[in-house]
Amino acid sequence: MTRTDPDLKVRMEEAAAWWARFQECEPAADDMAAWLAWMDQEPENAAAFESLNELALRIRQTRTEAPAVLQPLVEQRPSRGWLRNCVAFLSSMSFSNAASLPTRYVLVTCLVAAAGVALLFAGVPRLRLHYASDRPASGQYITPTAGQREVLLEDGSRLVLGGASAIATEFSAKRRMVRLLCGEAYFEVKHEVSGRPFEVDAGFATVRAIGTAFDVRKDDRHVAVTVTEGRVKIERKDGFLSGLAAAAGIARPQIAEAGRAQQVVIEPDATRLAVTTTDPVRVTSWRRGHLEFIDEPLDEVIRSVSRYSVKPLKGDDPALRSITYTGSFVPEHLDGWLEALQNVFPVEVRRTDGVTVIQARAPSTR
Amino acid sequence: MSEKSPHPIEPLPSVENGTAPADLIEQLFRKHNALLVSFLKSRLRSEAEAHEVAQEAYVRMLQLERPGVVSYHRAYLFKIASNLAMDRLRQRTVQRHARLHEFVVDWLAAPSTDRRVLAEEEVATLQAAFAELPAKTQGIFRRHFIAGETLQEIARAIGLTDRMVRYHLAHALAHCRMRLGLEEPKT
Repeated sequence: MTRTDPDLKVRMEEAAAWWARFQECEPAADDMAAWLAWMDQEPENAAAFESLNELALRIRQTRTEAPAVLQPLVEQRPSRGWLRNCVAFLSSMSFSNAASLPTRYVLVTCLVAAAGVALLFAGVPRLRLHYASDRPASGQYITPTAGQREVLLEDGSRLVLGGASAIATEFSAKRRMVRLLCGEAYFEVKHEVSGRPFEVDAGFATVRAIGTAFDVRKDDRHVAVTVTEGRVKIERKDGFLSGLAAAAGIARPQIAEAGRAQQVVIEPDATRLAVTTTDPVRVTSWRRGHLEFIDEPLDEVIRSVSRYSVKPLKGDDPALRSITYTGSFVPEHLDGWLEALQNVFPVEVRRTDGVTVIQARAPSTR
Repeated sequence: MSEKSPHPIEPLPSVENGTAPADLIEQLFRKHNALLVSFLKSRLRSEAEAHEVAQEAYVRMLQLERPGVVSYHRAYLFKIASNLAMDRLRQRTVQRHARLHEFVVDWLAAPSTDRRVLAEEEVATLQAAFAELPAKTQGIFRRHFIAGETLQEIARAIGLTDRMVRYHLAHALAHCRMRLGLEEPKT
């Protein structure tokens, strides 16, 4: 879908008509086949449908999460016409005839009461919004790019959040759960006599710990768990292929254990969970204000660096994956680091729209 | 497709090309998963549940005895997914209140940052877009998105046909989308 699509308005109305059909409790059986045919017709159709889908989901999510934000859409301003009529009616009343005053007084009272009832009804959807406030008690912590934050959890465990990272905590009588939503965090888990497990849910994988310290880093493609003290158990959640394999009766290793100075990298559809040896001091170097890498693919290095860079960085050129990087990064020396990158590797650094883009250099330029 | 039975699933035609069922389904997944999830999202109004049901549908396909040609399989895949979604929606009306908690959990588990609440400026744009719509259309949009009424409930309450309610709601959403600008959805 592009801004220049001449049929955009028509296309959007069509997409919306399909979307509305699917909001029915029981859409007709033939609808889906016809919808699939429509989606296949032109790629812009699918994009239009998806953009409506997203907007509808976001409105619903806003209603649940932050109903106050939607207040402007809920408020029904009293119609100007109604006010004018009301004023006209009141001013047309003559108070010269004292005898008829009580009748008029009753009339005005009725009018005011009716307006009150009308406003009450206008307020109904607003009141219904507040049911959303009974959501489960949980904490959320977010750091900006280049930020770092230490969080002391209610059980005495401590965690340090890296740059551009977010977690949500859910503690109950049965378990201690932290969701790593994005970025990186270092955990020092307090052992509990009652044996309440401490779990970190990182999307593709869950890490279980009992009195231990470890680092979890998450991006779109993988989760890396590095243990600095004690032992942890890592369980991969069912990805699509592992779910299929399980249904077909083919076992896939889903659980790994890692001890001090060991690392497990979890990718959603990798065939096995491999435990490797690593240097935990290097992996957690971000806590001391710099980053260290040994033989890491350059695209991942850039993704890590971007969480600590004051300038937005982008390096998703697939060619960067085949370049391995060994070295360090100090946020204060960003410009020098970018300069060095261009000198050492076949890459170029360009600034477009305020974003610094790192990409493989075209072969002809050198 | 028969309209009589709610869940008509005819037997699959067999094919002697020797492709393993898991491979066929993997192909289906790679080719059609985005479309399937898009459909399920619109039905189930939850990203996480859409992915769950999609996966369940693939597993069901795998359990079918005779694998067929991929292009033919697609209709089956969507049929199965649609039935699974229907089952979920029926269960959901029973446990409407438990959904709130799930919704919050879904949001927390959402993989990307594009699933976010509307910003205040966006709501301001929506408000302006709203003012351009007829009062009846505005009311229907509010009843559905803010008060959480189903299309059928709205139709009954204001004495319109289901088809007209659908029309108003579709028009309102399309209009809002156009006014909010057309940034590419990040999927």
